Amino acid sequence: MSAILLAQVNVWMDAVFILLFIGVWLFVLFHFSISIPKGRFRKKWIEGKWPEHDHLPVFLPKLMHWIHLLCMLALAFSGLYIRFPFFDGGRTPMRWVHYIAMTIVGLNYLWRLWYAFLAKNRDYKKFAITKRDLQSALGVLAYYGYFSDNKPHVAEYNVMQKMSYLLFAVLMLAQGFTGLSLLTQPILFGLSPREVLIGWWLGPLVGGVAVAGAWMRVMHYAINWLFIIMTVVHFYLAVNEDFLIGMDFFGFKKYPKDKLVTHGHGHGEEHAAPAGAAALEAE
Amino acid sequence: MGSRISQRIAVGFFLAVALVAPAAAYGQGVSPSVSPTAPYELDFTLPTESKSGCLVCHGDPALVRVRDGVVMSYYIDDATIEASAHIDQQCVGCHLDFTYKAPHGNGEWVTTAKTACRNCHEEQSRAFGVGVHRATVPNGNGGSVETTTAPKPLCGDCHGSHDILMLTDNPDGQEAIHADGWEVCGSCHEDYWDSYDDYYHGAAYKRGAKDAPACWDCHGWHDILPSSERGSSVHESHLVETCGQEGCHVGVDENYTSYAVFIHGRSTITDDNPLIALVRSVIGAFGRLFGGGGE
Repeated sequence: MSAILLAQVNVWMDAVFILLFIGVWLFVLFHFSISIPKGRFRKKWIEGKWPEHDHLPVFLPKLMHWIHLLCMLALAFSGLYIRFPFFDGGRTPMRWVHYIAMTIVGLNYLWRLWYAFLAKNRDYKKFAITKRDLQSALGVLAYYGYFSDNKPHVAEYNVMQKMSYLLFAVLMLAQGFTGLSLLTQPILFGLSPREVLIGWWLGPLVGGVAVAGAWMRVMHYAINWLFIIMTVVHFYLAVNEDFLIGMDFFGFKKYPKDKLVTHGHGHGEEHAAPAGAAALEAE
Repeated sequence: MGSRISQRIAVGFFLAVALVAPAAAYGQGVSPSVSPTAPYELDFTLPTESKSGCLVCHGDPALVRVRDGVVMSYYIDDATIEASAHIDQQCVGCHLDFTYKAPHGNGEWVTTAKTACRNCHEEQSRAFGVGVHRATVPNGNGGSVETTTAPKPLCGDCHGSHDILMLTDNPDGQEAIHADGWEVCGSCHEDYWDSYDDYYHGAAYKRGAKDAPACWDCHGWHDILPSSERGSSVHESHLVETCGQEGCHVGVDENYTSYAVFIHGRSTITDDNPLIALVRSVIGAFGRLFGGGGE
């Protein structure tokens, strides 16, 4: 594969992702503006009728989300600086910021996996996509597309949320892989992470270890933009769909106890007990 | 009697002159002994031939002349010399054409100083002699001719003058010259300086990244050649070694080095990108529509 193509791909990615980023913000603005004539804005932001919950977010996931958020912000900022240096003298410090945030976010990821699968209050079932979730997908899409005012609710997270969070987890792995593939220092018994991870299989495929590393950088950059774009949508939906629980999740303001329900979720749909709810309530 | 009167007249005359002359001079205004714009003939001898001797005059910040309407400073900051690599050198070690008169040298004063380096730095001077920046090149008959009318850099044009820092085993000096890409190369090769803007080399270098390559890290220095010549470190036949030099890329081969077109070619590739061209034309159209501009 020609490295000249690699240069063109880099320029293409800059153009496509920056336009996509702007486009997503415009779309979010458009989506929010539609909520006004559809009455959702009034219902939530003026009348205060937010979705009801039967339990509150617990401490550890909240803490891990905070750590993850701060590290991802640091990674995005420092990573974009390394590619587009927009102030003087920052590359070496930004690299250190990137390495430190990478280490913390990686450990945090492992911690979250431990919590999800091995902790006493493990919650992996909350993210599992069931048959009922898949059956509700069209309904969820119709709700977000303003074709329906009823959002199917079969668990704590809807199917789109589950898919997004799982995609995020997979992209985290991919980003870790591509990021480590950029390291050429011989820190692994005389071999570099690049040689260990991609040198032996991708190198021969694309015409050399260095070219393989350059393609990994392309992937790393592309996934970075996917994170940024997904986070914009995630932030918008978290704020506009479920502001009160979001404030509680970030620790800014406790969710009103009088809004806590023991049954039913305020959508008028049938209720299915969220997976692992009992364990969460035990906390 | 007569002689006493004449003595008194003589004394009175000298007293009058002594009293009146300064007042007359003050009334007319004092003229400088040498006009700041005029050539000067000032024979003098220095106390010593060392720096302290030269700095008797050149250590004075007020030492200026007006040349072609521009105030030229001839002040040499002693602290600059003290910090330089040449702290142990005599001024006349570089100012070879110094003479004990003023102006000190002939018309080649600056050129002489900027090329005096060869007397000590022989190896570098020889390398410079085979590079594209040599002032003359041998023609087929063994003589030498100017190959171009473009100004050729002399040692001092790149390395500076009184403030030259030690480079060997001196990280501060290496860091200082690493940051001088514009002064050393860019100020002459402006087009290449402008096009040096890819993400991880040029753009980072211009933002002060210490690990981003300066021009000479790829192109070489004293024996630098045009990239079209086989001897050039950036000729395609040498890119593998150049890109793969210590501290740079690992596992470099010919496939990878074709990516080097991006280093000075990002703006060209960007301009050729159809999506970016479309965005620019849309922005331009909006600008004309709402800004009232037109062609």
